[in-house]
Amino acid sequence: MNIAREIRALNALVLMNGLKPIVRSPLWLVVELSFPLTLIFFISLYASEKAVSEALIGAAISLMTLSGLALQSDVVWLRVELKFQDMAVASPISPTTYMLGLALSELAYSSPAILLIMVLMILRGMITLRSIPLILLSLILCWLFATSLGFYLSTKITDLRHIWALSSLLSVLISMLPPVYYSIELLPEWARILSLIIPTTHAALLAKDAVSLTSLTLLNKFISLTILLTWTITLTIIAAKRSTWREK
Amino acid sequence: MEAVVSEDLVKIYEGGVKALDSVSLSVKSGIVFSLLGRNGAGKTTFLRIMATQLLPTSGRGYVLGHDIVSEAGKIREKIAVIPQESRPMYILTVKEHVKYFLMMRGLPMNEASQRSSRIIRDLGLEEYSNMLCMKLSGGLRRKVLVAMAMATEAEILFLDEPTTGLDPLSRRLVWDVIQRASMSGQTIFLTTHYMDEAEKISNEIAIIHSGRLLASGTLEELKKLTPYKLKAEIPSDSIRIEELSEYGRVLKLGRRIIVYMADEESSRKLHDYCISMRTPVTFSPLSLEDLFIKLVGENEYS
Ligand SMILES: Nc1ncnc2c1ncn2[C@@H]1O[C@H](COP(=O)(O)OP(=O)(O)OP(=O)(O)O)[C@@H](O)[C@H]1O
Ligand SMILES: [Mg+2]
Repeated sequence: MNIAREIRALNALVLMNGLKPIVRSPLWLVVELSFPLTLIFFISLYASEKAVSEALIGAAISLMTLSGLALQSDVVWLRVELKFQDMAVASPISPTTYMLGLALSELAYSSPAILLIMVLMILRGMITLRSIPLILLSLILCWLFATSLGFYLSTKITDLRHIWALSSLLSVLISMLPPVYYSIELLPEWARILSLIIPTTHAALLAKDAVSLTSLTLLNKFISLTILLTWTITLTIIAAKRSTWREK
Repeated sequence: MEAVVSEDLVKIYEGGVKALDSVSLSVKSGIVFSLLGRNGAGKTTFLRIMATQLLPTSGRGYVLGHDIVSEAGKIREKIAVIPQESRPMYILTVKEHVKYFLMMRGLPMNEASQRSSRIIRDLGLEEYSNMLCMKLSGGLRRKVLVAMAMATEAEILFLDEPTTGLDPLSRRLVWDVIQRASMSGQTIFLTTHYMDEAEKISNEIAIIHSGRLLASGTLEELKKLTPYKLKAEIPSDSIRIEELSEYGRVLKLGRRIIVYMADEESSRKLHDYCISMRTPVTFSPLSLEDLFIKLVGENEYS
């Protein structure tokens, strides 16, 4: 692998699908922010300070997850509508670099929003130096698993309307419904158990533990990390091995 | 060295459509090669298989000596494509398209920038260089795709209908760029529905029909496939078709009758006959288009 060449390819994809389009239609940055900020606003209206802090953590996690899932629509659009993927397949770029480049371009859209959430958390005194590694780890793992899931699904689906529907549904199921914005303790027993299947639940648990909004035992921390890692690694392998690059 | 070789290539799509039926074809290095065929003949399918975008059902294929199935990686270093019906991203400028595409293929930014300026000039796109593609006309958008592929300077370029939608002058600019690429040693494999284009710029031509290869070779070689040298066109409502078979091979195409003739003698006789019947007739030498209509037409209606 030629590192310089890979970096150029990533740079090109980020410019092409991220930075340039953002500069030319910056409204998207506001769109990215509007969803988590609206939820935080609602929560702040009738819940405690602690709930608002939890929602902020949730917003960061959900933004990273949504950024990964957003890859789906772009990949399908580039492949089906523009036939751009055909040009990429018949070129030296690898599917992994293509996926990563597009995923980073999606991140360019959400990073100002994530940064703002981070600043809010710092202003509220939630983040300490010691909490940073675990917060970052859970955010990055969320992004990776959602990106892999998004890319894998996008190479299997040929209709843009299907992917829009699927992407919206997954967004709700993975980033809104499970205890990401709110505390897992609010759920009844059965729902709590069900929510433990979902990787974002664990990412939220770990991040909330890092900022002392909840306190996990060492064993629970280990279990959460294992489940989150298992999801991420499994989906990354599936994306790398099972995504359709050359059509059958 | 052969640039593109296929041996008994078969493609059956999911659902059972047989798009290619045992196609064996060979394209020499450094030439312009045109693949012709009716809509649905299998041109895009063939091109996509050879350009490693689609797997064949059976048969073998080699690009620059590399197996299309097991050595796709090596092939992808050396090729570039323009897919049929591709279009640029509306939110990028012409120059950005070419430049970023080259960078995506691994070129340093400086070189990508220089090469894109050069191809943009060669294709007469300079005045649009910094314009967003959403503001370009359909033909100009197509030209952006041509620029992207040509700027790669790849050893083999697979161009699926590169000039569809282009005005006559733009088409000639593209032909120039293609011919220059071929003179510098690149191989160009293209599909087209424009017979004059194939005739003018290609060194060799192949015709496929319903997934089968009907003919391939130089224009001269293809012309030898038929004994006919001349053709006559007659409106079909003015004459009885049966009367014409003594002059040559007769083909009815919509409201026209076409008679293919082997020699001057037959054409003189047909001329006299048409005058006696007071029906208009035009004669011309056999062109690639006639050859295409004859070969494909015979297969279609026989
Ligand atoms: N993805 C697909 N799935 C199923 N059938 C397909 C698919 N793509 C093409 N076909 C079928 O394969 C045959 C060949 O199609 P192809 O696109 O190769 O033709 P073509 O010669 O390029 O035609 P055109 O001149 O219209 O571009 C057609 O019958 C077409 O319907
Ligand atoms: Mg086609």
